[in-house]
This record gives sequence, structure tokens and C-alpha cells, in this order.
Amino acid sequence: MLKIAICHLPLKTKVMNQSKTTYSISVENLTKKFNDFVAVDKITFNVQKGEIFGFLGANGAGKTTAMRMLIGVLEPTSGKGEVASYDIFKNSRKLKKHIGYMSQKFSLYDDLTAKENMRFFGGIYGLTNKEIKNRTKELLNHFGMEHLEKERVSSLPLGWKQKLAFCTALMHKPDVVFLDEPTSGVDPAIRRQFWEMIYETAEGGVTVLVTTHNMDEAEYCHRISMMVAGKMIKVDTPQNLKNEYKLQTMGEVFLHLARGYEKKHAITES
Amino acid sequence: MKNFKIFKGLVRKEFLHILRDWRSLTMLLGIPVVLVLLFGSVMTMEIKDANIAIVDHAKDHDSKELINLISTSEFFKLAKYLDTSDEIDEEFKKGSIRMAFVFDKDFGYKLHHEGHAQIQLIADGSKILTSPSLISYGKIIINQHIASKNPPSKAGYYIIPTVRMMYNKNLNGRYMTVPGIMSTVILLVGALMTSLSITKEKELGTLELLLSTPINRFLIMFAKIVPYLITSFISALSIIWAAKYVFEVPVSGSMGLLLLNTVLYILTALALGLLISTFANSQLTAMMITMTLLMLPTEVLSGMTFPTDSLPVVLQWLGKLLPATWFNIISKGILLQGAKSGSLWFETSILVLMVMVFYLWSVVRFKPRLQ
Repeated sequence: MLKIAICHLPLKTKVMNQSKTTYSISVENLTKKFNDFVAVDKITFNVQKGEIFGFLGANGAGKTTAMRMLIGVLEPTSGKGEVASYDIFKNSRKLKKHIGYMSQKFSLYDDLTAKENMRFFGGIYGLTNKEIKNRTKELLNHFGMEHLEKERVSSLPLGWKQKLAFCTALMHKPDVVFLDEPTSGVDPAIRRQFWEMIYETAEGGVTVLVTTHNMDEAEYCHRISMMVAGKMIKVDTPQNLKNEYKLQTMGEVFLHLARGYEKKHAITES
Repeated sequence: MKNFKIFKGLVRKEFLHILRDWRSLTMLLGIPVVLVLLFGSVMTMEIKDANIAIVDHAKDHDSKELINLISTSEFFKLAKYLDTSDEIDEEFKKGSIRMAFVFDKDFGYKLHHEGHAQIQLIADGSKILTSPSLISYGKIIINQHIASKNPPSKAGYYIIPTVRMMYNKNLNGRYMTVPGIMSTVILLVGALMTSLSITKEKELGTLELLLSTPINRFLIMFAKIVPYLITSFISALSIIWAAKYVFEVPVSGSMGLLLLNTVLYILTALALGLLISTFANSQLTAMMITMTLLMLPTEVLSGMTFPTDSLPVVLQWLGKLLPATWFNIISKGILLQGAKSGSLWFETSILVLMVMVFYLWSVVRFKPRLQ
């Protein structure tokens, strides 16, 4: 926790110095409806370059749906959005070149080796063979996974698979990385290692958008947003939120906000 | 007794599983019903009003008498008169007639002066299920006619039928099976495997990952097809080779044309596989759709097992929606009837149309943004 606490400090100065027009992610009233069901309800937020932004919320709150709209995999119903300064409606193809994605299902090909997976995805992003070779080596060495190079993904334990998937998402040096519940089902030790990887990446100037419903991870983010039933009810730093509600942990903050929202909602309905 | 109660609980759970799973329900209820209806209606292999032709070189009283009997029988329908026997080949290929009766020019003369004369019964050897029956019916009519002409006191009016099975002298059943095997194998490799491969990626979530990359969706689709295109073609080639050297079913028509149409049919199967994968979200669903909506109807309606003309009209029209039906016509035409490039253009263009329609439809459905 100490290391992570220290990491909080440098970004604050970075954030201060950035001008408002260089948001890495900028979203206004983004909405997604499936027939009558509103999965994402007019969410608005901005993310700075190099920031680690957490999407918090219970299951079914709309976090994954929101993320899928930002990576160009799901067509929004209405609203505006820009990722890496590309419009999500008009420039989704170009947008995709500058983002990395790690889906909830840890989708690396099981029957391929780590190296083969990275070669495949590197190729898709248009890297040359030389670039792929160098980058694979660089990433695997940097994160201490050189020994996994020739291992088939199916033989790896869960924690290594995710770390590998994260590396693969970084092959083409994206500006923004989207991580959808990257540490679900993983033991605390691996989770800590994974977050150290995320921190290093963010320090290098890559924006990280993470969805999670693990409240400990919420503490690790620079800022978090809370989603309940498709709406984004709060966006702030973890510390500010704890101060505002005079609570000790993000878990308590979440319960307070979620319960509060439900109560309010129930009252207006009846 | 305690065990029995536990057992009852287990059995109840099993019933609930089945009732709440549409796939199991389909297998248990839907398919048997469909099969009974299909096979029940198809099993009536009676022959009625089969189109036949007459080549009458004699044009005398006796030939006309017999022709009258033939044409008024319930088995046959006189479709046309032909001038020479050579025209029969073309008529068989067109499918306008299934049998022909040929009278020599001295039919009547021989009957009255020599007491016997010949009549040729020529049937389409490529239709091995119905042609023997047609021949038998023809002989029955002739024998009845002879009997009526030969009362006990008077003898000497014998009409001797000679039988010829065109294209397939020995009624070799393998002529039918080779196109049938080809169409099934290609459907299996092309349609089934393609649809399974794509839905597997859907299931694993790797498809979503691919869609978040800048890669063109068409490239993803076509990359899926290529391995199965190659393997289907190799399978088809080996079947044709086996047909020629192992089963002794030679290709009497143009080999090049056969291969070309095979590739065309493979493309259709692949397109169908792609299309099915856009409707299915899991491999199991893809497999069920492919089996019940494609392979099963193909077995029954495409002319592989049952001749298409013995099916009720409704089912014949349904069969026309299947690419295998057209491919069977084409391959039988080439293998047996020695068809060359010009004659099968209609069937070939239907396949081309199907390829285009299925591909366009899958492309439209294979959106880059998963709904």
C-alpha cells in the first residue's frame, strides 16, 4: 500500500499542469438503450492523460456497457464521446489503433503460446516483425515474464494469464488502455502485482480506465466514478469521497451511495 | 425408501432441465414429429402419371392400339412424341420424360406375319429407384395387351419388350451415392465447421477483442473461411478420385465443369456456415441449427436418398431452397449423363445466386459492433 500511496503524489502535479482541452477521454451524456431498457443513462465525465480512472458499480450497473461503447464495439444510442481525441461515432476505426483492451473473459487464445499471442495482436495493429520481436521481449522482460514466452496460455494459472493479456494490450503502445474487471477471481498477491503494472503504465503517460466492483481496488485509482443502474452518480478522488461522507473505506462509501440512490429512487417512484 | 425419495428428487430435476431448455425440447418433440411427417409423406413411392415419350416408327394400327393403352394407364402420361430415338437422351437430361417406348417401323407387319415383334423400353438409368418400377409397369401393360389379344384358341401375337437403362446399364447404385456423399461432406466441413469456429470465438470472448482492434470485419470473416475452403476442396477431390478408381463410377462429362461447380457449392456451404454463425451465440446452438435446418433437410429433400419427383410438391419446393438439391442435379448430370458446359447453366446460376445472397446476408448481419 505504501508504494501505491506514493504513486498518488506525482500525478496531482501533472494533472494541475494539463490544459482542459487535452482530455484523454471525454464523454458527454452518453446513453445506451436496449429497446426500453436503459443500460447507460447520460453519463458525463472526463479523464486526463496518464490518469487511472476507476469505474465502480455493482454487477449490472452498466460499467461494461459503457466501456464497450468507448472501445467502438457497441454503438451508443445518443450522446458524445472522444477517446484519444477521436470521436467514438465517426472515427472508431482510427480510435481503435490508439487503444488497448483487456476484456473480462481474459481472451488470449488458449492454444497459442504467449509469444504467438503477442505476435498475432502485434500484427493486427500493424507492427513490423522487428517491432513485434523487440516489443515482446521488452514487455515480457520488464514485467518478469520472460520464462512464459513459449508456454501455451492454457497451461498458465489465472494470474499470469491476465498479466500476459495486459502486456498484449500494450503491444502497440496505445494512448488509452481499457481494463474490464481485470482482477476478478485472482488472489491478493497477484492483484497487487497487477496494480503495480498498471501504475508503471500510467506513469509512462498511458491513460487507464478500469472497471471493478472490488472496493479495495477503488482506493488504488486516481479518481473513481460510481455507477448505479446506468447513471453516474459521483465522480471524484477516493479520498475526497471518504472525507465527504466521513467514512473509512471505499466499500462503505459505495454502500452509502448505492443505498442512498435506491432509497431516493424508490421514493420518487411511489 | 430414503433412497427412492432422493431418486425421485433427481428425476424431477431432470424433467425440469428438459422442459426449460429449448434445445432438448426440440430434440425430444420437434424432430421426431418432423421426421415422421417427412418420411411418412415421402415413403409413398408409388408412380402415377410419369411422363413418357413414344417413338413410333410404325404408325400402324397395332402400334396405335398399344400406345393408346399406355397413355390411358394411370402409371403413365404421354408427354410427347419423338421422331427418333436419339432425341431420348436430351429429353432425359432435361428431365421432361422418364421413360420412352420405341416401336420399329415394321411392328404391325411382324406381328401379323411372324407372330412376334419387339418393342424397346428405354428408361433413365440415373433414376435407379423409380426406373425399374417404370419398366415393370410398362411390361405389365404389354402383357395385359398380349393376353387380351391371345384368346385360348388363337395364338401368335407376342410383343417382346427389350429393356435398356440409359447411362447406367447395370443400375449401379453408386452413381447416386457419390454426389450424395459429396454434398454431405462439403456441408459438414464447410457449413458446420465454419459456424462452429466463429461461435467458439464468440463464446470465448476473443471475437469481442478482435472487434476492438482496427482490423476490418471482412478480413476476420474471410480468414475464417479459408482453411475450410481448402479442406473441403481436398475432400471433394478425394471423393471424386475414390469414385473413379474404387467405386468404378467414371465421370462421363466434363471434369473441369464438375470441379468448378464443386468449388461453387463449397462456397455456398461456407456462406451458409457464416450466416448460421450470425444467428447463434454458442457452438451448441450453431450445431443444432446446422444439423436440423441444413443437414437433415438436405438428406431427405435434396434428391440424395429419395428421388425429388416422388416427394409431395410442397416438399419439392422446400428442397429447391437447399443448395445441395441443385448441386446433386449438376453432379449427377455430369457424372452420369455426360453433360458438358452449356447444358447445366440454369442450375449453376442458381448456385451463384445463392452464394451471393448468403454472403450479403451474413455481411449485413456480421456487424462490427456486437449488439
